[in-house]
Amino acid sequence: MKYFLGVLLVALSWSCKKDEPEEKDKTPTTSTAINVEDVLKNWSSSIIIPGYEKYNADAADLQSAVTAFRQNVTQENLDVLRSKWKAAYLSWQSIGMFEFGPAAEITLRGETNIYPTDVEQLEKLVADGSTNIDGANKLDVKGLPALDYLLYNDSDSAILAQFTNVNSGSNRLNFLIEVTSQIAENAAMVNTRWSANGGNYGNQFNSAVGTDVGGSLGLVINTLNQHLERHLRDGKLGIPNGNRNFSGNALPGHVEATHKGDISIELAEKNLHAVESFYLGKSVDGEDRLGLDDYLESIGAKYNDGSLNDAIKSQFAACKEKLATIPKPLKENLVSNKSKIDDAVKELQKLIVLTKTDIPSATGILITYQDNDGD
Amino acid sequence: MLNFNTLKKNLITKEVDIAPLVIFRILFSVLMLGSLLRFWLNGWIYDFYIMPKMHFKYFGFEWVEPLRVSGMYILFGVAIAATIFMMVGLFYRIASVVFFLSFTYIELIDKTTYLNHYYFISLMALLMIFLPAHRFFSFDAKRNSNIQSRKIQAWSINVLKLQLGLVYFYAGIAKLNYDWLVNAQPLKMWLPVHAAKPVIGFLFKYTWIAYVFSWFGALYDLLIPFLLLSKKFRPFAYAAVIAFHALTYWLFPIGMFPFIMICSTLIFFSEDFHKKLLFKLEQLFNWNPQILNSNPAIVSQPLLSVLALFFIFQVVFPFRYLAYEGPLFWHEQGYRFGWRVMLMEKAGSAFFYATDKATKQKVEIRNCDYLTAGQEKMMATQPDMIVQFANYIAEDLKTKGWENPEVTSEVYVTLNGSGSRPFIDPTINLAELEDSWQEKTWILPFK
Repeated sequence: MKYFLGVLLVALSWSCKKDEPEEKDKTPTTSTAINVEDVLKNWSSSIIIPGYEKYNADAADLQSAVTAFRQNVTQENLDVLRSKWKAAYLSWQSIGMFEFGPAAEITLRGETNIYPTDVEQLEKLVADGSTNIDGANKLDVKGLPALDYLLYNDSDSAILAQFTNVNSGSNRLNFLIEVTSQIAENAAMVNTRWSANGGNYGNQFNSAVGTDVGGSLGLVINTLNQHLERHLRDGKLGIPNGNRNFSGNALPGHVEATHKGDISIELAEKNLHAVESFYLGKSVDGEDRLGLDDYLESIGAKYNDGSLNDAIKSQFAACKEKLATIPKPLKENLVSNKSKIDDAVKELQKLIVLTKTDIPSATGILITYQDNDGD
Repeated sequence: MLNFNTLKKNLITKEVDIAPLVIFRILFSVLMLGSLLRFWLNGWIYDFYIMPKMHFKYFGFEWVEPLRVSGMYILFGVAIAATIFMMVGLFYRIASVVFFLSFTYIELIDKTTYLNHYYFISLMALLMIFLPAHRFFSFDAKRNSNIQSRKIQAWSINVLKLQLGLVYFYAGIAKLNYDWLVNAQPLKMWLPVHAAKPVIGFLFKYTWIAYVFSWFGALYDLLIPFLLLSKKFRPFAYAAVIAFHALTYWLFPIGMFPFIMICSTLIFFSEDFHKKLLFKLEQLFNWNPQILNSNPAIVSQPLLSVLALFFIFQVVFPFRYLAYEGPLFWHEQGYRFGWRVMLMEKAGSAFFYATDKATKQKVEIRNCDYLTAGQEKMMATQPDMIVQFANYIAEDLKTKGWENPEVTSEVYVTLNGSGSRPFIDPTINLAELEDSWQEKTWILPFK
């Protein structure tokens, strides 16, 4: 009798114990099994943190260029400012998809890259001399797209004239400064939170090795899937292509960096490349280290008769190929080369099927915190 | 020759001690209380019943609606209160009816949250209504000496054993399929992920361990009811119960199910075991009433007939899938309510397109505009939910001025690591269909 009660109690208390503390055991238990923790460590140290550092540095450069431009509104300074803006926009493409942890806390993507910019609202704020761009309804008058508008909405001479206008020039400059400062502040904040001598979120990220919803692997995969679906496939191609509006008409004003006009494909390519590198665990210097590819191989993930990793790698290649065939600039080819955009969207969709269906299935990560008995 | 009357007497009318039933009442109530509190504290009342814009209704229960915000919390509060009343045996009949109705109502709101063990709880709760579990060691018995009893008829305990045995046995039958036995799927996929776990984790990378688990799991489910019934094998069987359920808890996100089974199966233990346990509780709570009456709750013929129907239904219902063509795990027609637990690894991606028939305008639907992440995930692999969602999209577009929206889909599903493949006929207008028990011919064959 007592014996049985004892067994019951021991069993219950043992089962109740969470398994996180034990998983801190860092010695690899097998030679071939890849520890999730090692993949996470590589992601944070070779890709995410260096990515944020780069973006943060570029955002700081951008801010300096704005300061110089304010002091001297010249064509020369405008050119420098524009090149810094483009550099920051490109490095943004390497980290914008990591909308979890510190970035999610301050909704970095919403603060930095909502497009198209609401030009009317922006001009009204400038006319009113306001620099208040806080709050959810101001997300489309700020960030890198707002700079796209401010720096490229007209000819060079006209832009310079806007900033030197006797009535509104200083308002416009102040607005430019506020937008840029916020970009730089947000970049710095997220960068600090990840770094070891700042908030050290990297450490927290590396140690959340479970496959549950709180685990980093699940967090990363779910976030990347959302990114691929809504921000890469839809945001960069599908929406300008008219896939999401009832009329089905192309929307050239909805391409990324529409006022600059000729870098939309470049930005998309940079982003796709970044997602692929992340999948492969490729460091910012191009060295192939531990990534999801290695992990999928180590758990023997299959796709039909081949390996899932091979299927995903060749799908990345297909996406890159189709993206490269779209003639630049995107906004001028939306109608004339619609079929090429459709093709790229289709290939991205196939990639999404693999990352959204096959990867979670193979890795056992959970999409939501919910009991599941397997059906 | 088997004497029917003796059998009937032994299984149904024989007078036995009430202790096992009282212990069961207490354990069941405590576990239900714990489950409901856990659900509440996890924020799931909001996540599953308040946040979603639409709910996936069960066929025949379309009328079950979530209550308004505070209503949902009140409903859970009512169910929680009922478990406490059941536990202490105060107004037991009313409490057990209230618990059954409130719990079942909650579960019927949305099939996204369907779990076999919720179904099990509803069945158990329904049985509990008719059992004389409050005739001893309860406030009801204290207040009302007429119902007091130390003895009950054996049927009251045997129905619980039968219900539990049926769950296990059917779970075992469900495992007797090619993928489970010959391919060791889905365990071959599920176990390697845990290779970094401590102590025995290193085993999980080996394929043979998936076979061991698959075969042991199937044998366990098929045999455990019989082993638990046998006095000789019971200690071994119960150790297996604990090991099996603890292991599944450790590896899989199956919530309260392991604890419910570990506690429920105590009902198979001897009368003496429960008497001693109950005696401890009596001492602990200074329970020592004079038992004046012995009212063992004699089973009525109508009740016996109802119970028989209850079990016949459960024996037959899981086999309804035989009426449909093709692999059950793929089309899932007749999958639920069949004790198919942790049987397959299935995931999908579903894309929906709406076309206005009049203007030929075509637009892609953003699933997240309508569904929570959990709903989207469950919907993407289950055809009945896919139709329901498409119907919902069509209705929503009508309110936005579309006259006759056509909804098509592109769905890819992977089953037991097959690799994702087309699931639904992409040309079929799902908006015209309605979820029913009719054969879903627009599910593409699994190949």
